[in-house]
Amino acid sequence: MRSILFFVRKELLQIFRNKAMLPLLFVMPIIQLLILSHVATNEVKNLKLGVSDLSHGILSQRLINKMTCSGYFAIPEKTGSGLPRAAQLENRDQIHLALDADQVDLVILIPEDFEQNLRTGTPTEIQLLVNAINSMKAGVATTYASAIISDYQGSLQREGIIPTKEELLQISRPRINIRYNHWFNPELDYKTFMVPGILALLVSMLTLLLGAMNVVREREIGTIEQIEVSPVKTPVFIVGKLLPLLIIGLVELSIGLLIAKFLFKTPMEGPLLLLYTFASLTIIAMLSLGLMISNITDTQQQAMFVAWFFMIIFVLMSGLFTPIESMPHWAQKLTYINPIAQLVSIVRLNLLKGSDWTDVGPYFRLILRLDVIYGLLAMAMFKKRSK
Amino acid sequence: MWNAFSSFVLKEFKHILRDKRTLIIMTGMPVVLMLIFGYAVRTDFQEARFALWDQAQDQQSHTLIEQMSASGYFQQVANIRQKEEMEQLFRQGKIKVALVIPPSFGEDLQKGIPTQLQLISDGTEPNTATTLLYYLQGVVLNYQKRLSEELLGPLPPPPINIKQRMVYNPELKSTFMFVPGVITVVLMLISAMLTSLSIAKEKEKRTIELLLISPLPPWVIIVGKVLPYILLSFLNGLIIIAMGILIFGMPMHGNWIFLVLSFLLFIMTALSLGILISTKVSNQQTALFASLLGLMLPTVLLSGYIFPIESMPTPLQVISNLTPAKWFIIIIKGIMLKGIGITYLLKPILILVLMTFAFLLISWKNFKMHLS
Repeated sequence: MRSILFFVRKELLQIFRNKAMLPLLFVMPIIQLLILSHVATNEVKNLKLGVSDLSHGILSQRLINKMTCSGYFAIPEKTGSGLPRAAQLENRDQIHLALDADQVDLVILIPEDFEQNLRTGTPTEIQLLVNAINSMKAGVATTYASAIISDYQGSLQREGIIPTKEELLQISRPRINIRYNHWFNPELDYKTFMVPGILALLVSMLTLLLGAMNVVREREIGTIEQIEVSPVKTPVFIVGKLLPLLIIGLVELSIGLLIAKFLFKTPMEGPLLLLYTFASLTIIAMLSLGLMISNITDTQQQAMFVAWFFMIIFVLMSGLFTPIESMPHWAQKLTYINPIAQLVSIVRLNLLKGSDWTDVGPYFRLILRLDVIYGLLAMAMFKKRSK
Repeated sequence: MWNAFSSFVLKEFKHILRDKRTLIIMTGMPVVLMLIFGYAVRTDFQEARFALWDQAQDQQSHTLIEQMSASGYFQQVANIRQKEEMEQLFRQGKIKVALVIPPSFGEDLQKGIPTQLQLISDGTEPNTATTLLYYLQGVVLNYQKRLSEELLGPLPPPPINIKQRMVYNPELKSTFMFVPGVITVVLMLISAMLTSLSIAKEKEKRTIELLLISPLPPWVIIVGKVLPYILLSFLNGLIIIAMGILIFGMPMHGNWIFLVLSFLLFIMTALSLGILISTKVSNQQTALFASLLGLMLPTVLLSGYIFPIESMPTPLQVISNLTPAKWFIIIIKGIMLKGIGITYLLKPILILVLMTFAFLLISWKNFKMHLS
């Protein structure tokens, strides 16, 4: 026991002697939290609208006004050299020019006989041309635009500008209203959503990198042989190596939680002990993975490269940025072996929804299983390598 | 001179080829990233788990639920009778939404009285919450339309018909976003990160001094060091493009020569950034963390490839202009998807050229100071 303590002390001294560690420990969480939480939003706003109004009437003008007043669309005023005016695109060529140059995100094309047809009750057609390279953004843009247009149509019908039969007018009114409540985050604030997830990312990323680089560093500079000939036993060596990193991981988590609490006002509904326990279990799994990586690599460069490779896969498939439910089934199954996915879920459940021990049993069983499997694998690989 | 140079390049190549693991990862990385983005990371929602609190239990509510399940967007996992059950399901992370149907649902519909459904969603995932709300609205609208048609017979077409045209990407594939994104990340990783690490390694091991006292001038050493990485990056870029076109149906509307040239330009920018980093740091670990923070984070986050730049706060939008990745993505999309020529892409190209010169100039100054 005493030897472990000495070992841990030696390790901590060694880690903090490296000047690069301090910024890593204190600057990285702040930068990540600050940047990521502001960046990571899929809210679509300020869509650039181009108009091609061939009818030049009061009704078409009213529709355009309705769109720009909604707050989702704005007509860009600035024109670059050789670009047409977005407020009035004259023909197909100009429309495509504006889309090509990224001057506008979508163009609304109102036909010549728009007003006349509306007033006589003849069906007419509005075209929306959307830059769909970003398919998500395009989907949102058309949803917004369609909603505004059908709203516009409804008010014209009620005002009697579009002649409509009484019974059709009746059914054009919505009869089923949907009232919605967003629980746990009524304003749908993105930061509330992202900050806990980034905390999970932060802790697991750091511990995986540190775990992967630590042993391989000793191997690269040749000091591992000194340890191998010393009376320190393998389990003591491994625990002594990994325990300081676990401590660092938890310190990191605490720093992150403080920032979240005071800077982002992230709610913390559930018991923090649960969060710390689960984070420790996740860190143990990440460290075991790190140890495995340092067993299959010879240099720090390799180790960091391999670690980075797994990191990016784990993060992309963790449900941090895109919901796990929208992945195909086989990919959803892969989250069972992904510690980061588990931690992301738990941090969100615990901080935002106040989930207690009784709620999250399955998650604990899963992470414990991962700890045992990864731990044994790492141990076995380490022994084999030492021989 | 030429002889010395070529043997130096050969030596660097051997260094890289000897390190099998890095090599495997370097070529495996783009493939794996492409497969993940192509098959696993999706933003469209399917089978969201929901709990149902059906207080009506009549024919109308059953039809509505059937239509919800048939839409493919929703999957019912629980029947509940009280609020506490709902809360618990949310806390266990078992459901994303809960739908409450009022007791008088069918009755009201038959009498023509407005009725109200209640949707409770998990607000901790804003995207999911709003998307599911849209989906439910769609299902309900359809349901209403069918009810009206049962009463009145077929409806006349609406006065205003909306025709949507998805320009550049009619099938709304996500490929168009991630292929340019993966290219930039991989090129950045290999050109900038690996170069900076490999020069930092020479510094850490002090072998750089041996190189500097050799008869080769410093710039030859640098060029010799980065040349293999240029080739590797280029090869990787081609693998990604080939996968994008052959497997994921990415179109290529523009000029191939133009595309290849812009690849080379971006590789040069990334390399000069890598050289800049390596002149600033003294060991591999610092180089690694500087690259992670200074390169990968901005490349992934601020370049507009995962998150739209327009939605970021203004300071970050300004900073995003400093990331080479942002401009390169504009160029690739322009060439491949829009098929536009150099006249529209002059601005991003000039910016990349300027950045490259600026990085090289700064590193040149740093480098000189080191030697003195």
